[in-house]
Amino acid sequence: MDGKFSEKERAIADRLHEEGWRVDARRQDDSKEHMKNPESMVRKDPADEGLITEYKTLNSGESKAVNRNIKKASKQVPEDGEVVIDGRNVNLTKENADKAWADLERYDDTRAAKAHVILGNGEIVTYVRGD
Amino acid sequence: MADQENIFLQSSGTAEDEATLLRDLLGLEPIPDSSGADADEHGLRGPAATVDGVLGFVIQPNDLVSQDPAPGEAQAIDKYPIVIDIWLGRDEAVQMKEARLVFDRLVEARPDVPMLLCHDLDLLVAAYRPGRGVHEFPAGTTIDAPDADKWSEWVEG
Repeated sequence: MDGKFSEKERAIADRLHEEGWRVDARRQDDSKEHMKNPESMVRKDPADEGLITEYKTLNSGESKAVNRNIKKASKQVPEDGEVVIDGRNVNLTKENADKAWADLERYDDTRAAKAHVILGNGEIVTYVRGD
Repeated sequence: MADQENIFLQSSGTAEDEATLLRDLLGLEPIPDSSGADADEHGLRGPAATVDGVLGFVIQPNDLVSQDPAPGEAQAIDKYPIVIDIWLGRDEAVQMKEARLVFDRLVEARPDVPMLLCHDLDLLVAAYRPGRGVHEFPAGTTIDAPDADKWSEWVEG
């Protein structure tokens, strides 16, 4: 757990820290050359063993962008892993986040067990697979 | 995940075919440990052209295609069945430059194949259309429908 966050990853880790979650960067596994290389372990309370978690920062606030980035990040984590999508830079709305997750569910598309989406106003919305 | 560059190809070949072509074109080697990869993900690597470092590539089917796009939900990448993800590391500017060199090599080597160069899945950098050449998009152009007026004539429908 001695990895380093990039600037974008650090911004997400800081927001999760505000929720009281402990976030540790994972060391990069160069043998896999990023093919599956999630960047953090997140523990939501001291008893939590932690979940491998993948971050993505959006460059577009459209629901399709949320959809794409959840799919891409979800392929990086194990079955019980989680993803965090940061939409603050693009003023992501809850409506677009909701639509993206609804479409992923409707088509039973690739998605992590949980996706935490940071909206433009900084609020975090959590979506659970199969809910 | 770290930002990646993406080249989308409108090719009728399989991901494996495209990986073979890319490997031969750029003199790449397979990524040694691809144990976590999906069945049709093909990992390659090779030396970067402008810095001392290793450039990684994953060639796979484009599963980001809209399955049933409603009006106003089209993406520029919807008609491009193959994607090549490219990464170098933490230096985003160098990574983008390296990806651009790969894109230019592909355009030169595969003049009949339409292709798009994107940054981190969301932003459209350049498009190539056979017979028309390469078009550069203004910074911040997304692959999403609100920017379709900027890309529709350069994206193969």
